[in-house]
Amino acid sequence: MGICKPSTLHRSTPQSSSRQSHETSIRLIRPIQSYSTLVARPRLTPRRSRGSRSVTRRSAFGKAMFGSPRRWGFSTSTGWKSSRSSFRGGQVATQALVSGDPPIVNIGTVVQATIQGHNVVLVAAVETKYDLIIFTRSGITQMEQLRGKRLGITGFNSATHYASIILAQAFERRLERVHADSRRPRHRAHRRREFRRARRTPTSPLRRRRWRAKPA
Amino acid sequence: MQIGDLGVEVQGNGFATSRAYIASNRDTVKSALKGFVEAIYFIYAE
Repeated sequence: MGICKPSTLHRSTPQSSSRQSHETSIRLIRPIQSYSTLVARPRLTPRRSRGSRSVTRRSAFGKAMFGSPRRWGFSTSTGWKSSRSSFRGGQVATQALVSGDPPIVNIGTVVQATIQGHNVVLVAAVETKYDLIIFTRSGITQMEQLRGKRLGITGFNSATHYASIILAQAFERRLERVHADSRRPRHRAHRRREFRRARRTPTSPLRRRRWRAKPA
Repeated sequence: MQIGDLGVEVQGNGFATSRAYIASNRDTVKSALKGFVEAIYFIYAE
């Protein structure tokens, strides 16, 4: 964007008049741009580096398996040339391991695969305690309140499945029914869509009808 | 609550491979294990 000389700005040719109007519009737009960048969208939190962000997350254990060795160069320093493949769930990853590709996976279903007769071995693990987090509706605050409730799991033979069975046996009660979610491949997208819809859906009956939403 | 506190053995996430792959590619598994241990040390040290 060049700066025009005053003599060229005062010429009465059509080209110079359009340039003059262009300069005027730029003069008007610049304060708006500076307002929008400085005032309207302030950055409240400082930008963090990518390396520090991954360490402070809760899933540091999982990242230690594959992501961190690759990112920080430990895999190359130890002579391990790795490439990452993502699978949807431990069951699919176990099937891939049994079939031979990839040869090393990060799963929590080694016990299930061994029970099924596959010659699979756990090489290394870092977790000493298993976190089973159960999300419930509001109002359930004690474990005893889960009696008789259906418990949704991510899939049959998954780590969540076994953990829920162990949890039920530990409390000397039997799960009446375990509901395996069959929408696993589209689970995340479905949940994201439902969450977005729940946030946008209005609460008044008239607006809900207009949105074609279910009655409250 | 922690399932580990209940005295029940539960497997968490971990490196898994087949015994046949370990027998045929022992160096690869060892180097992967080394990288894994180095990353764990880096996480706890930093």
